[in-house]
Order: sequence, then structure tokens, then C-alpha cells
Amino acid sequence: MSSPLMRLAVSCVRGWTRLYTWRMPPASRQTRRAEIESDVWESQSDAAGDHVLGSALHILLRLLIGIPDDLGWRAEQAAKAGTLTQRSIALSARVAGAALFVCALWVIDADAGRRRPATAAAGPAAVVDQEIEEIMAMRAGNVALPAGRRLPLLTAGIVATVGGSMLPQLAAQLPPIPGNGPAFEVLSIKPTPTGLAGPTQNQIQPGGRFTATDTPVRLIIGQQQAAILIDDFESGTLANWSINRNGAGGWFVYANGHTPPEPSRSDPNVPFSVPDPPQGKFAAVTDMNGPGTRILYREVRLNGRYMLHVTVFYVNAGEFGSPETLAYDINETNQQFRIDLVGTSAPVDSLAQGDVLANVFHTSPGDPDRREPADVTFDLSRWQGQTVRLRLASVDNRGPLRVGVDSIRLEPIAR
Amino acid sequence: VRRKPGQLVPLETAICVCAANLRRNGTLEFHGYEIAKRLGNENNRRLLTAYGTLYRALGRLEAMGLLQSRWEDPQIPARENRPGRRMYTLTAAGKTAAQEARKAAREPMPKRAARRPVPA
Repeated sequence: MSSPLMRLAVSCVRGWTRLYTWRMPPASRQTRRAEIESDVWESQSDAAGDHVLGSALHILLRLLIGIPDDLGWRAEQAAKAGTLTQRSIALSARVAGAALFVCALWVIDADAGRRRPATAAAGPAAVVDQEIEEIMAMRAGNVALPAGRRLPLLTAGIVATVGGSMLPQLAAQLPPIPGNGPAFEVLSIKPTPTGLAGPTQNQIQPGGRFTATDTPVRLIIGQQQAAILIDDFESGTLANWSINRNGAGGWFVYANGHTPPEPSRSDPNVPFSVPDPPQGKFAAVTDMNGPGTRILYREVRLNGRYMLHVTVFYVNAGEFGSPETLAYDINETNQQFRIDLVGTSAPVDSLAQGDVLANVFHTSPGDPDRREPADVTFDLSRWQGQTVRLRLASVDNRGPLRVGVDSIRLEPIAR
Repeated sequence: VRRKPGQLVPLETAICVCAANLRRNGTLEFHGYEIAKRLGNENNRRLLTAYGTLYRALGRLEAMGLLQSRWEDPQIPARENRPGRRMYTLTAAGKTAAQEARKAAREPMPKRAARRPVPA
């Protein structure tokens, strides 16, 4: 995908998909985005070696023609969820209007292109020859040249129409904030050095919001932070995660606590039986039919002070043992599940002191064989402003240790 | 195309027939782009079904119980360095729908009554 034209087409598809799935329930949103991403990748891969312009136009056309269905699908989903409001209907109508306008542009331009040879036929012989060449090229299946001429008009049309008509509507859906400065939440108010209450203190109360201007009071303020969902696995995939495994088994997404996600890789002697996903339809779990090490990890940027929340559960068929290694092929018992915060440059399976920044959760010898889903929390504010790696590692060499996680999120910590 | 209750729209029928053809050729599962490509080939069209149209139709077919879907094992796309695919399978109800569609296509169209010559 080195061509800028192809990049533009793919960006249009991604941008549009993000737009029409915006503020949808995470499951529907992530599923649709992942599906479109896969389709776009496949079509690019399939078109490798084809004419770039033709392939890019093909992607754009598939996008444009599908817009009414995208909007219809969005409306269906909203109706199902009971969130179809008058404002969303108005927004959909604006988008549909924009799409129609773009289609009209396309038709007008295509029509203009079709009439050109007939007009030119009356002109000088050289022009007629050129037109004949173009027609012959089109009949041979090479339609790239005329399409290339239309591209700037189309691109301008799409950008101007969709952007112009939608941005004000999208902005209108954000919570209203007076003024133009950054928004702050008032956490507490201290008196001025004189001890006298200033007039503004009566107007701004803790818990309220205001916009930074020349406010003549001393305030302890914290920039507003929202909770960040790292993953609840409702996409039905482990997209955005990396997996490192040794031996048997792996990490999977599952929907039913009594149905192994991949039966061929599940130990039939100790049937898969874990709690159902504690939140939503899906959660992540390890399953195996032999000893192994399974590591699920991803990097997390901490732009503020956050508390990590993870719903953790497990079912263990052996006895826990926690040597200082994640290798399963050792003589002693290694039967453990641990969640660590690791440096981004550390080897993914390292337990060295310099590599592991903090341990969030770990099993220990003597722990019960089964843990029902329960929240584990950990204060990450020490790593504010840094990128860290969240690593979930499970090792077993004394029988299946099936571990699961769900609803991994960062909750802001108030100062 | 306006949907009549209990009936499939032409695209949905075409997807079922195409999936049944794939099944006969030994491909039990297919992903969105694959079915779009097949539909394009069968109808001799270069332009594939639009993203929105295709995935909305696949979603409807799944809701009707004619298709089933699952996301492939994440290790496969990780190994092949590509996004994960949502794999669809034609269900027994989907096979029946495809058979009925084939049967309907084979049946001759009802003959139109011959036009009466207008007297001069």
C-alpha cells in the first residue's frame, strides 16, 4: 500500500467506518470496524500488481455505494438498542444528503465524460484520433485514464460535502462547554491568601465545570480524564493484543464457559469449565491440551493518573507453584498466573527485577483451585506520562490452568 | 429493494447460493471479501458489492439463522501479519434457502398473455 492514492482510499474507508460506528456499543462498533479492516486488507492484497488508480477507485466506489446501507445498519442497531433519537435521525439525514450529493457529482462527471467524444468528432482530425485512442483503450478494459481525470473533482466533492455537512452536527453532539479554553473540573477551592472569599468562589462549586480564562481565584484543578477501556473482548477477537506462547494451548476469546473456544486444543480429560464471560458476551481465556506458557500483552500509554481494573478468574487442575520463571519445561512445578507491568523494551517473558515494573496479580502455592470473576485493581499513577506493557502470563506443567480476564480498563484517579 | 416478510432480497439469495457453491467445492467457511469476490465473478462484474451493503446483508443472514460466523483464531492472522477474518458458514437453513433459490431460478417464468392485435 505504498501509493498515496491507495492510502487516501483506505483512509476514507477507515474514516467513514469510524464515523458511522461512532458512539455505538463497543461490541457492534469493534466488530464492524474489524470486518471492514479485514476486507480492505484483502482487497489491497488481492489487487497487488493491478493498476493502483483502478484499485483505489474501486475501494472508493465500494465505500460510496454502501453509504446508505451503512446508515441503515446504524439506524437498525440504534433502534435495537433503543437509542434512536430525533437528533440521530437528523444526523443520518444530513449524511444521506451528503452521500446523494457526492453520487450526483459522480453521475454528472461520468455523463460529461461520455459526451466528450461526440462533441470532439466535429473538431480537427487530430482530436478525433485522440478520442478514438481513448475509446479503444476503454474497450480494451483500460478505464484508468478517464477515471483519473475525474478523481480530483470527486475527492474535492467528498471532502467538501461530507466534511462540511457533518462536522457541525458531530460537534453539536459533544457536551456543551462555554467558551473556547480547555475544560477543567473543579475539585476544591482554597481561600485567597487574605482569607477573604472572592466573589467567583460563590459561582464555581466543586464538581462543576468551567473554562480556563482569567479567573481571579486560586483553584486546585485537575484536567478532566475519562475512563479508558483497554479491552472487554466484545469484538470477539484479540485484536490489538500480542501473543507469545510456548508449548501447548494459547489465549482465546470465548463466549460460553462450558464450550472450549477451540475443541481440538482443549484437554478432553479435564473438560473446559470456566465461569461464563463476567461482562458482555465475550472474555479472554487460556485453554490447552498440554503443558505450556501463554503470554498475552499490549502496550498502554498512561496520559494521566489511572487505576487499572481487571476482572480476573481461573480454574486450576494442578497444584500452584510459582518459580521465578515463565518457562514450563523445567523439572519443578510451574503452575501460575500473573499479571505484570513490564518495561516496553524488556523481553516479553522476563521476570527480572529491572524488567518487571510491578506485579498486579499473581497466584501462589496453596491458593484455591478456582477463583470466580472478581476485580483486581492497581494504582498506575507512578507511571503517569509513560508507556508501559501490560502482560498476562499463564504457565502450567501439572495439569490445565485455565485463566480468564475481562473488562480491562483504566479509571482516572482524582487528586 | 423493499423486503417482503419472510423473503430474502436478491443479494441475500445470491450470497446463500454462492456459499452453497463454495461448500460443494469444499470451502466450508468464507470471509466477507471472499464472498464478494465470488459474487462478482459469478455475475461477471468487476465492481464488488459495497462494504455497507455486503456486511449488512451478511448480518441479516446471520440474524435469520442462514449463516453462522466466528472470528478466526487470532494466532493465524498474527502469524500471517494481517487483520483477523470473520469466517461465515452456511447453516442447514441457509442450504435449504439456496436450494429453493436454485429451484426457483430453474422454473420457467409464467408466460405472458399474447397481445391482441389492435384492429386498424
